[in-house]
Amino acid sequence: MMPRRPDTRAVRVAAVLIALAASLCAGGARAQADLADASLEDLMQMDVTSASRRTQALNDTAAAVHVITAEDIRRSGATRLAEVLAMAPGVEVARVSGGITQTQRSLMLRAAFTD
Amino acid sequence: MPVLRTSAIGRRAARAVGVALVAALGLALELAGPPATHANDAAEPDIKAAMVFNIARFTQWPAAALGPADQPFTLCVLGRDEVTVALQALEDKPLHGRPIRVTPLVREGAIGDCRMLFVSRSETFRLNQIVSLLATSNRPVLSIADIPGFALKSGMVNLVKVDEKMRFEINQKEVEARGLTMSARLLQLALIVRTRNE
Repeated sequence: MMPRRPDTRAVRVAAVLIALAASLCAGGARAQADLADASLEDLMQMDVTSASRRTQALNDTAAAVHVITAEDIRRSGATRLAEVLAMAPGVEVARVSGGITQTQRSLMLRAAFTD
Repeated sequence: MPVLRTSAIGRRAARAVGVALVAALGLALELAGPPATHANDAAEPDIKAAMVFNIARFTQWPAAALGPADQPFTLCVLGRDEVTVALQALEDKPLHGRPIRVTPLVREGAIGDCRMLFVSRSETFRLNQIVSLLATSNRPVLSIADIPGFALKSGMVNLVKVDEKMRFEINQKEVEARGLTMSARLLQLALIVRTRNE
């Protein structure tokens, strides 16, 4: 009996995953169901979603999140905020003008600029 | 728990019960929710296409206008956007005993072959031209557009979004003048922008 235990555990885990996957797939299929078969009353009750298939709170919409930790900053040896921000994906920092006393930096975040 | 640990069979039984519970939970989640068979939200183009189909379902054409039963039900489309793409999914669905054929209206002269015309928002710029084209058809054409003001001109039905829900406007005067009949249920759900007496 004892040597079989890992097997039964694996089977149990697989069963759980299959059960969950099945329920998720069924839900997805229902959302994709042919809307033309819905009644007009049902269609008029539905919330209209835009690009994504589901209504969601603005806070829940997909967003790129990158966290720069204190440890990251310590290791990088950065001394300016711009240098720290440049560590995040999608952020470009460019030197705009080398003044005599200071260098101006321009920040670019996925094609959105600062002056 | 101590009882279950006394034998391997007990453990197995407990696991089986666990698996069954999870499966039951999954099923319960799936079956839960509103009794309606559809989710309570959908993409705007999909809802619009489904409404076009449903409005046509509750509209009656004079028997002669539909032609022989072996002819397809022609849904002509003017313009191109996400709604016209969604309308393609209606192809071959039965409507008034005939399979739907979705076809772009490429020649103005072909309007006579259309039992129904959907006008995409992309055609807003030539709305007046389209409305006069509809008047030239010798057979009744159910005209549905996704253009503000369509039903106030000589268009029949216009899809509108009100507070994130889809609604539709009906120009009852135009519908009846062309010999089409809409069910009382359809008229009840519609926003009537022009009554038969107007």
